[in-house]
Amino acid sequence: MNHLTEDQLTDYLHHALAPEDDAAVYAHVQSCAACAAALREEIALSEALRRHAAAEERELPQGVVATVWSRVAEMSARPSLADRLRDWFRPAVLVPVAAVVALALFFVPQLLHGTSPRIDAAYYLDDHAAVNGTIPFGDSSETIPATLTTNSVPVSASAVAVDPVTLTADANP
Amino acid sequence: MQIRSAVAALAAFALLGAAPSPDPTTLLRLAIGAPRSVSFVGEVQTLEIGESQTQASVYRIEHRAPDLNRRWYLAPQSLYGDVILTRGEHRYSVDVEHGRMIVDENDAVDDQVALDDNFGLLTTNYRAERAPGENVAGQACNVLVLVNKHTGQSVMRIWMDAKTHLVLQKERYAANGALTSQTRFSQLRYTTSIPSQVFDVPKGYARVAGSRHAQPTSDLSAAVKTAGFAAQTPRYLPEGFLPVTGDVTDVNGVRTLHLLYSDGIRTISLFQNAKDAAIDLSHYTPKTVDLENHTAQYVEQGPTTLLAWSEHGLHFALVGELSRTELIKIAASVVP
Repeated sequence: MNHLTEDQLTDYLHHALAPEDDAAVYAHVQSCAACAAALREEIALSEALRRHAAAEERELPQGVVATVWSRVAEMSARPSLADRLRDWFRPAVLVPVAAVVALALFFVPQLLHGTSPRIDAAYYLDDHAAVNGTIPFGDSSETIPATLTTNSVPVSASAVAVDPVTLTADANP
Repeated sequence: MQIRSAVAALAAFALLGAAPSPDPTTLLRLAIGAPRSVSFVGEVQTLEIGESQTQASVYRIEHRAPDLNRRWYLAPQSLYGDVILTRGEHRYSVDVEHGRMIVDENDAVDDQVALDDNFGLLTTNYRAERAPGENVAGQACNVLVLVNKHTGQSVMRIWMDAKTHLVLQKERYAANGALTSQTRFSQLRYTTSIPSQVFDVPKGYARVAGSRHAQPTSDLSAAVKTAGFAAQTPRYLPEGFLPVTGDVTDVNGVRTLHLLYSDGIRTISLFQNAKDAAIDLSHYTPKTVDLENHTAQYVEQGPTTLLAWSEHGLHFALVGELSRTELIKIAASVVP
């Protein structure tokens, strides 16, 4: 048997395969390390999506939740809870949902914190202390680094070579 | 016989009186150079008094001339056991609690030309006056007071060992005379036999790359041009302050210009960048203050104040030990 396709793995994981196909996939996964690893990744992704969906559900206002459940209760011949969950993880639903979640995970933190880099204040304090080393009785050797007192992560800072220029009228700072 | 004794006494008095006593400026120069020729171990207490907070620390120090230095913190509790090892241009800050060692490089520490220039600035703006001698850590000291020639205010008082010229105590004062910082040896022993292993770089800590502070240039025009944006400078500076050095650094990928102003003792740093890279104050408790037509945030660390604001697409940070009022006045004069 060739390596399993992503669709096969997804369907296997969500019990969407015919019994004979399910058995074949099971046997293959037992003997193929690559497909077993792929299956574990698929399981981890599903778990992440499930946890995220659960978290989102908890944040819904109680009124919305109650309305949804009352509508569900009104529906006759409704499928079981397991069937409904299984429906959620059909590839046709799962793939768009995964894409939306991935986009949200990528963009929401940037919207919250801004897309530009931020420079820790500790850098400015430490750099000020560092250049004080050339000032008589400057305290650069006595100052406690701000990165120690704040436990912040040092920023990446590399000096840029400054080439001497001839003084001109427009070069006066 | 009596006449002969009196003449001898007079001659001795005249000789003693004529013995050259180093003038205060020479003493200052000797004090600056002392750590490069004197080795010692001791204990130091520091006090940094800000307008709203004060920092105190106690550390043991081992110094082997010319440039090996190790500080081991005994207080405050949050720094207990932390070590700052300086080997020339390299500084290793061991953060015991977090199992990390931050490694910085500072090319500015050995810039003799800049040090000479700034000493000239000090003697231009300050008058050194002798005060009565005192003892510090069991050593007889010469005491000098540095008086600002423009304002007549005492800005710094220095106790230096009369024999080695090492500074054993130093105090800084605000414009109103209030003490803003004190560094003082509580114990001191001169020695030439500190084992070199004391200054070995500690092992067993995760190395974290810190900052690399370049040797700044006195060619500020070149620094401004290298920054590549329309940099701004303050229109107001306290009397005696001059632009001293500039450097350009890529900080988190953001090109940042740093201009240093000094009067020979006090300094202010103006940082600016033209990218949308605001300052991260999340490790502090910032407060807000009004500048002329916008607001700024400030934080204090001991006597050092950092004032941050944005205007016309430029992000500024002004850092210094001047009073907050004075820093706000300077910041308000930076008008893009």
